[in-house]
Amino acid sequence: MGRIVAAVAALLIVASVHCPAWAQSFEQEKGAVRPGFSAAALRGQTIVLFRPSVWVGEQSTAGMPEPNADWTAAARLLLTAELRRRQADFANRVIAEPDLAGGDAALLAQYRALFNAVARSVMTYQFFAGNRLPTRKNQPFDWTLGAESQRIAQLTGARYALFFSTNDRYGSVGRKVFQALTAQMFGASMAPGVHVGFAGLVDLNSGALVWLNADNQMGGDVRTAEGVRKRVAQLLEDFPGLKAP
Amino acid sequence: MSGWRALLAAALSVATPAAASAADFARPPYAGAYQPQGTDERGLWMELGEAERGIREMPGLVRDARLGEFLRGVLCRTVGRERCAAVRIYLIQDNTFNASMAPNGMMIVHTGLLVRLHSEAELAAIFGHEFAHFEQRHTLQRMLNLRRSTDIIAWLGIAGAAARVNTGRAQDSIAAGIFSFGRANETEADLLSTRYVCTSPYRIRGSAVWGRVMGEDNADRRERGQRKRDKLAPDLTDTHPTDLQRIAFHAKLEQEVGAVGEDAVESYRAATAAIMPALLDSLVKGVPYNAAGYVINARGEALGWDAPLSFARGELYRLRGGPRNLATARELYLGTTRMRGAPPEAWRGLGLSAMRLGDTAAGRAALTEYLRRAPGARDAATIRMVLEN
Repeated sequence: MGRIVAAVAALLIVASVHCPAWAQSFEQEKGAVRPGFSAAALRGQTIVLFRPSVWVGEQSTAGMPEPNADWTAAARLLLTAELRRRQADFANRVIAEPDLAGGDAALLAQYRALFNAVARSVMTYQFFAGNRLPTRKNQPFDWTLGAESQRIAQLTGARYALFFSTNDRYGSVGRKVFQALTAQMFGASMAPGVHVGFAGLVDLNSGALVWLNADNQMGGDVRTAEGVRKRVAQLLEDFPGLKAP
Repeated sequence: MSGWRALLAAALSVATPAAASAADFARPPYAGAYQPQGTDERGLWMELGEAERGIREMPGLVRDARLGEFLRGVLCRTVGRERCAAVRIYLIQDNTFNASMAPNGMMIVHTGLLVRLHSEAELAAIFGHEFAHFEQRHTLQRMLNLRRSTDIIAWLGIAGAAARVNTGRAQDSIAAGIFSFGRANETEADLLSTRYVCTSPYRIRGSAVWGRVMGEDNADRRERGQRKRDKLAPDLTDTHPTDLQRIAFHAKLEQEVGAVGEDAVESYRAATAAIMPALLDSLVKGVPYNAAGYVINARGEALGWDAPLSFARGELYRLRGGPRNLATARELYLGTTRMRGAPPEAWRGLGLSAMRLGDTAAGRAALTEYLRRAPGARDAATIRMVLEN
């Protein structure tokens, strides 16, 4: 046992914070627009922004997610503020999800969950290498939430719905040391925290997913206003509804 | 049964709780309106708060104000009025025998729990257990323990690799410790639950509840051709103490406390009467045959066979579908139709099982009677078609 402790101590001393160059052999980011959809279809239409799904926390040494209430609350506020600031860049009117009660609130909650499920399916089975389905790989981007989404259009008066989701796990001190050590000793690369985000646009008339942008290694520290600015810019990259610069 | 008794006796002799006299039972002091402390606990509450937003709107949530009032009333009588104010109870459609408690005061009760319990006192045993997890902040403790343990495992692994020492065993034992920590939490919750119930109007009934859990599990295992589970000691990765351990634990406490407090069987029956047919229907259709049969029989033997229960038993056999099952089902439906408050569907079951047994005339008569009693039934058109052909 003494040997182990001595070894750990020695390693801690000699370890420099040396980051290996990660071999980025697979794609981290991907976006798609539904075939046949053009920015022209968006002109003059109202977009309802669903309550973003935000989770911010730390990653323990062993990789366990540790939720952080303050960071999450801050990121949610900053994200909302940033989207409001960007309103002028949209070619559309963007309204916030209405605060409903009863059956209508349940409907919105179900569509939020459905969007997240569909978006995750797109990422797993079509976008990113690893577990792609033969029926989806390199096939047209064709996904839908179902035409019943028209009820949301009636409720909100919007033609399109915009969804955001971010999940950030910042490496704890222990995690960073551990990561540096494994890189130093074995040349093994461990993911530096988790920074996943996606944004999508749904045509409420048909339920079709017309645009999705997903990124498994997002930039921008969502705990700061500047970082959120970068994050939102990344999420809205290629968004068809932005005015030409 | 005698083998089971012998095991129970053996379990009793090794049961862990220190002998406690009735005088020892008092509710621990309670801090009241608790707010989460520190980064980890606040993070946990934030996460569960988000989950609760979803649960409040989920389609499977049973929105029955009177039933909700009843559940809250039992919880308040179990843990006391000041404590129960911190809890929101959500009844969700789920056939499993379960309930759970989140650290932020969100309690989830499965409908499968209500169909398996027989009295308010049994419900109190469950509520006391779940509330104890909340009061002792077990979810937070487990999260911290999990983080600590996995951190140590990670460090041990890297140190072992560096020193070329196999640390697998040490890592395994720490991993096993994560589970034993959880089991210790469960035992603590069982003990605290008894303290709540002892100072409530209810009788302590934990052994009956866990006896039923074990009985159903073993009935299900028999159907699957598996060995029955009657372990005295948990396996390394068990999340709870074994059922037999819990039965012994509660039986011992029940013996010490004696027959004080009420069972409140009738009030439980009355409060759940409206939802019970739907719960039984879901049980028959969604739970494996032997297990559902065990639940129905246990209920009938303990509380007597009323029309909804007898009908559910008939459905269980009819849906099984073998010739012998159909004969049994027909007899059960026939018995049900003679009971007070027999559902019209009992005549449907009687007719369908008679027809499948080849007794067309009796089948037609029963189906006609079904349509007479329930002309607006959802399957009326289907049944009419059966009659016409």
